[in-house]
Amino acid sequence: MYARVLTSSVFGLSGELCWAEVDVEGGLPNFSIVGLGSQSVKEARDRIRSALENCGFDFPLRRITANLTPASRRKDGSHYDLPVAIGLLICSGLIRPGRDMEDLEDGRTAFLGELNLSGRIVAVDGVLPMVIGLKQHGVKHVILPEGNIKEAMLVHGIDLHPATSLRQVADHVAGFDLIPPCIRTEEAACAESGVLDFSDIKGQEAVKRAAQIAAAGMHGMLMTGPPGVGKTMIGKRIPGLLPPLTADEKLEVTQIYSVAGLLKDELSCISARPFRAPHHSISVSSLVGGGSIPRPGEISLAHRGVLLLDELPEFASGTLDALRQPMEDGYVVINRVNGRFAYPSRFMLVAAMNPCRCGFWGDPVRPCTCSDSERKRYIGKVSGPFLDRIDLQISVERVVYKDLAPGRSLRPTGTEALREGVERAAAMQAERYACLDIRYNAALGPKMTELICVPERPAEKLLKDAFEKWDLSARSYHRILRLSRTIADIDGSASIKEDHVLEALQYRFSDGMPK
Amino acid sequence: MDMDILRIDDADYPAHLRSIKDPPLRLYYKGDLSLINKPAVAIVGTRRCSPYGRWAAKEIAKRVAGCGIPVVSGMAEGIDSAAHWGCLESGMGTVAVFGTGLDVCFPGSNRQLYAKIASCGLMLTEYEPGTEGLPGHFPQRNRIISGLAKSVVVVEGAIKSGSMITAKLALEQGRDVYAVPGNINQPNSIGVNKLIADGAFPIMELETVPELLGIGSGRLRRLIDRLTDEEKIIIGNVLEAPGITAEEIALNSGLELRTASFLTSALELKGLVFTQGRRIYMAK
Repeated sequence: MYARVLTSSVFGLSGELCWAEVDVEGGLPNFSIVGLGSQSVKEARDRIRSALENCGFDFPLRRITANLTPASRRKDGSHYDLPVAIGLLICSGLIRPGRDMEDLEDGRTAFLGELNLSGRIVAVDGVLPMVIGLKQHGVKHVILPEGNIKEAMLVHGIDLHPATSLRQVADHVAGFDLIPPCIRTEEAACAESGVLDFSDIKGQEAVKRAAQIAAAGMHGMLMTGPPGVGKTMIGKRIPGLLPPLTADEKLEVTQIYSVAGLLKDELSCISARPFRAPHHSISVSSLVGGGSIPRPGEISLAHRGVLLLDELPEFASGTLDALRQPMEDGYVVINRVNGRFAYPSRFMLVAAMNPCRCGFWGDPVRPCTCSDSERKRYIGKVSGPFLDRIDLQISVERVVYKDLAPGRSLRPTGTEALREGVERAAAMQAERYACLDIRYNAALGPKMTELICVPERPAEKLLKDAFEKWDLSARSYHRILRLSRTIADIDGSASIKEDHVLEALQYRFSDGMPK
Repeated sequence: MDMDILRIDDADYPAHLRSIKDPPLRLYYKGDLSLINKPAVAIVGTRRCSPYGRWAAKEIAKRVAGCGIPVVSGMAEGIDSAAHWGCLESGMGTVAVFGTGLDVCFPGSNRQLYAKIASCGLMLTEYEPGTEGLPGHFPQRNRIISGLAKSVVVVEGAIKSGSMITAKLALEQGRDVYAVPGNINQPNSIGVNKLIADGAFPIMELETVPELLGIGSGRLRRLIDRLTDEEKIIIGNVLEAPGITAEEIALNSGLELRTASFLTSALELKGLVFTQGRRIYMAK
């Protein structure tokens, strides 16, 4: 007897069709699962045996072979338990598919879910990309763990049947007791809890302005300054500046979190901009993604959000340089013997560093104890090509007491006020890039930059003067053009004027050493 | 004639004058008091000057006025008058310290200058209105001339002359003394040449007068003159406190932060300032 049941596999972020075939024949009792499954797939045998017994079925004492096709691709995950179990129930005659289920073999219904020994269905990782993939392949119904229902509901146009136990699914397939498809309720507005506000930061108005510009165009930002001046505080507040995720962006981000297994019960949809701040001891593969069965790294988890790298020179230099390609391309490709995995990585980089080892170079109060060569060595840990890819660089100065004292005339700007400009810029960019595959100015490549960021004639002359004066590189030229474009967007100005270029020039390098 | 009185305990009374050994307890004045807010440059010399001395006084005065610094002198004939005229011709108000009452024009030949200073300058004296020019008064008022200045330039003067008294008072008050070297065949040159021998700074070249006096370079001044008003605010702030940040300038001046920030770039491009981190310094 033979039966097959549809399920899905995730490769990178794409959900592909996968059939669980089960065949039961005479012979010595045996149960094997083939089809390049990982350890967790192989162990399904034992879970299925117990689950079946505990749901009141007799486990058939015959020769059982399950195959996951296409069999040439490596599979990982525990969601194959349910489809294999259902296939086994059908082909061993323990249940007979009901009238509604006769099309099971056509692949109109797919099954996802892990079984525990008692026969209950447990939530799994990666449901969102699988459901998206299934829908794209024309699947109409998905039976999936109840715990995954919230993330799956982000996908429209497919019926989702939440299941809690193997028995329940068996009854559904047999047509005794159908599981009703989940009824979509209006998406509950996810409360943005504990968003940090810029008004907590006194002084540092220039850095806040820089943060606003960086956030408006999703530009990379590097802050250099002595310890304790608020670099980290500023970095942590940047996600609050970004415009809310669009529906498409939410889906993209939630898929990544789904694959990474980071969707917790309450958090079944990522609706706030991601914020990731890995420690500087992080390895290359946790940062950019990797592993023998690749998983998304921090840069993909920060997709459409903020990646804060504090103490930049403390990161291993190879780690930082591995960021260069994903930063430019907006995705990272991990090649493995059994496939090529691409994860999106359009994050906004916010980096912070001290100007030297002791941290006080250029400080008006504390003397720096580093020699010139020590300082160069410290800064040299961050490679020039990497720094060159950070659009906006600013030095953060110590706040003098008078700025901290109450009653200063320059009131601390709050997130609300800064966000106004960011939203204006977002609207300008949305309009400009409506028919392009770009959303923010930071994503413009060299060619597009020259095409789109065209300054007015007098502003162009200024830029030329600046080039001759400071001997800037071609890449910095594009950086300044992009920043000018964003500054103009914040102003709501269609053309790039002199003021915009001049302000952008303020952010050209961070430690007083031209690059 | 209408005039005002400035007492030593008034807030407007210039601090640098108050700090000399015997400051005048009250001053009668007429005109623009802001000219003596900051230490000025005094140009003094003989009444019986040579054409060269007259020329030198006038040209030096023009250079000083070009830097936005008023010239202080005693409105006597000769060098004093030439210095006042040089300053006025550059469009800068000049300060005349009288040895008489303000309503007395002494010497009478200076009527034209008197009228001009009355309208666009500042005249002041410690003598009551109506006081005539008595010989003892003039050396007395010289202490006020040097007291109002941070530098005193002596153009011509004999060994025993009012100019030498002023130079001596200036040294006592801790002011810098500069002297214009003269021909050795003229009595009026001997005094200044001896000042140089005694350690006064000689003025050797006209063009470098502002640098020598420490009041800014002429080139810088000309560059600054061409700037917009907002740019001038930035430069003013940087000159006053090198190492200031754009935020502090915004705070001090009421400019918008982003304006201060892009103007800094503009000034950097013009080569007037440079930045290190976010701190701004003069490039010249």
